[in-house]
Formats: sequence, C-alpha cells, structure tokens
Amino acid sequence: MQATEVASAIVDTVPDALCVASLGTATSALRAASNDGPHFYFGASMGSALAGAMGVAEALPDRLVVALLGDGELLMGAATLWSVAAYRPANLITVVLSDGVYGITGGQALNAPTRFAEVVQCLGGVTNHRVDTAADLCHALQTAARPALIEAELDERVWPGPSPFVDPAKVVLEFRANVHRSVSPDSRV
Amino acid sequence: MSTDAPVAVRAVDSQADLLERRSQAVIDGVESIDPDFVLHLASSTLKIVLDHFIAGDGVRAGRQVFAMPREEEGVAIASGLELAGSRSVLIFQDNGIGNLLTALLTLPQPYHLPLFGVVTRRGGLGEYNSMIHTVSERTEALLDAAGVRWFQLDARTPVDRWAVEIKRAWDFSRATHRPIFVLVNLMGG
Repeated sequence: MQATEVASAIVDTVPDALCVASLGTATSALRAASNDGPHFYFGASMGSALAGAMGVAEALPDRLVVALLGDGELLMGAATLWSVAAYRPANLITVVLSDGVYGITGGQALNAPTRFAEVVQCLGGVTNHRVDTAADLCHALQTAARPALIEAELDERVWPGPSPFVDPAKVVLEFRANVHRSVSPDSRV
Repeated sequence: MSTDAPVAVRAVDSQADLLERRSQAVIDGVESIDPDFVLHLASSTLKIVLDHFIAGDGVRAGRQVFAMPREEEGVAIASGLELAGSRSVLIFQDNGIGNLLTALLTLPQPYHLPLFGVVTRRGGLGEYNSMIHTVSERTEALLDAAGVRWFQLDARTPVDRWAVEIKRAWDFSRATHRPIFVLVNLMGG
C-alpha cells in the first residue's frame, strides 16, 4: 500500500468521520485523498496529532474520529497511547502509516521497531490490527471495536503530492464547519 | 503555659493557611469558568486544587478530569477539545513550561485557538526542592521569549481578587484566540 491508498480507504469507508492528520506524509495523503476535505491537518507540532484527535473525540462522543499518523509522529508522541488506553474514547480509530522512516525529512530511519499494535495490546483497552491491503483496512475500519489502532504497512514510499504545509486559519474554519454539519444518523457513534 | 506557638510553628501554620486560601481562590476562579475538561499534571503544590476536581466538590456530571503524562500532550488535547467546541483548563507547574513550548507555538498559537492554563509557581519563597528554581525562576523569561501572554497572581494581588482575575484571563484568551497562562503563587511571595 501507499499512503494515499490508506487515506482513500478511510475517506471512502467512513466518509462522515472527522479526520486528524499528522504533519508530513499523513497530511499530504489525506489532502490528496479527500480533495482537501474539511479535516484537521497538522502543519507542525510533531508528536501531538494523536492527542489532538483524542481531544476532538472526547468533545464529540457521537462523531467518529480517525487519527491518521505517521509512524515517526506516533513514536514521538507515544505516551498518548497510554492516555487513549486509560480514557478509551469509543469513537476514536488511530491509523498508523507504518514504513519505518521519517518521510517528510527525506527518509531517515526511525531506528525503532514499528510495533504499535503490540504496544496497545500490552496496554489493553485499545483493539489492535495490522493490515497490508486496502481491503483489509476497509474491513478493519468497519468492524474494529473502538478505540482501535490499525497499523497499515506501507510497501511503497511515494510522496502523495499536496504540500503538508497548510493555511491554519482555513483549516480551522473548515474543520469547525465539519464539526457542526449534520451527518447521517447511521454514521453517528 | 503560653498560648503563643513558637515562631517557627507559626510560620509553618501561616504557610499552610496561605496555601489553602490561595488554592481555594484558584478553585473558585476555575469553577467560574465551568470547564467541561480539566487536564492536569501531577503536582504537590496543586494538591488542594487537584483534589477538588478529581474527588471533591468539583466532580460533576459532564465534567472529565484527565491526568496528563506531559504538558505538551495537555496542550494538544486541549486544542482538540477547543476545535470541537469544549471548554478546558490546563493545570500544571511552571517547571513544565519548557516541555510544552513547541506544541504551544506550533498548534494553538498559529491555528488561533484559545487555550487557558493555570500554572503554579515553584522555586520561590517556601520552596523545599533545592533544584527546581533553576527552571522555575526563568518561567516569565521563557514565556516572554516565546511571545506567550501571561498574568501573575501573587501577594501583590489580594487573594479575594484572584478568582475574578482568573476568569478575566480566560475571557481574554477567548477574545484574543490564543494561549493565555495565569501564573499563581500558592507557596508564598
């Protein structure tokens, strides 16, 4: 899978979800897959995206929230996995783009095992899944008990395209409009 | 037998009384904000304040209290809560300011998100930790260098004004769409 395939699977499978993308590959992929959809794009603040998504999820318990994170991002903010395991927001799915490198900075290795699924298994309270096809990712998005962490293994590193550096004022306005829009009762958590 | 306690004992009693009165003023100020979420770090000097929200009269339906492992995680969760329309207050010690600067300056600051924190002072009069002053005494300088607005509550402000000032600082954060910290000296000085 490529990062954009992962983001497309999310946008297509759970179209009413509020997505929060970490800086770099995740933001570029979500922008590409959603045609600059009204999601929250981190342009910096590496290591903060899962916590930001958790805040959105806690404030809106009836909306599904998907955190799309790079693996380097999650490594930097890994302590938040403990908070997710502790407070267990039942509307939060974390999808990790797992390829073992820092993509936006040129592909330096993490030099750390990308075993986030096993970490949350140890912590408890968060279901864990590892997928390597878009079909399996779609299935996990639809069926996983939440909160869930899905580690999506990338086998091809292709820069998705759009810039990861966003206009913060535009992002906030459009995300807040998305928060307040009415969604189908079926998609409510 | 004299009813006068030795000077040293009176001093200790006086400090405990001071801590209690100032802590209650902080509680009153935060309660006037009526936050949906209270995000806190562990703190000995904030024990009275934290006990109120964790297990005391501050416990109420619809309010959640989250213990944060690091200050920057609190900043990110509070930002997510704000994006989704919830009211939150961060409570932590000034020796954690250094931990949160990057998250603060790359998330709520550029995205123009109101964020409010009550920050207890350490390292001054009454301090028992002989090492904490090396960071705590630089709090104002760190925040000034970062361009983060702060207000100070200490002996120069009558304690019966503290709650009002805390609420005014919260309102200022909302009006100016940026992080605002109130530095409160609970230990003396």
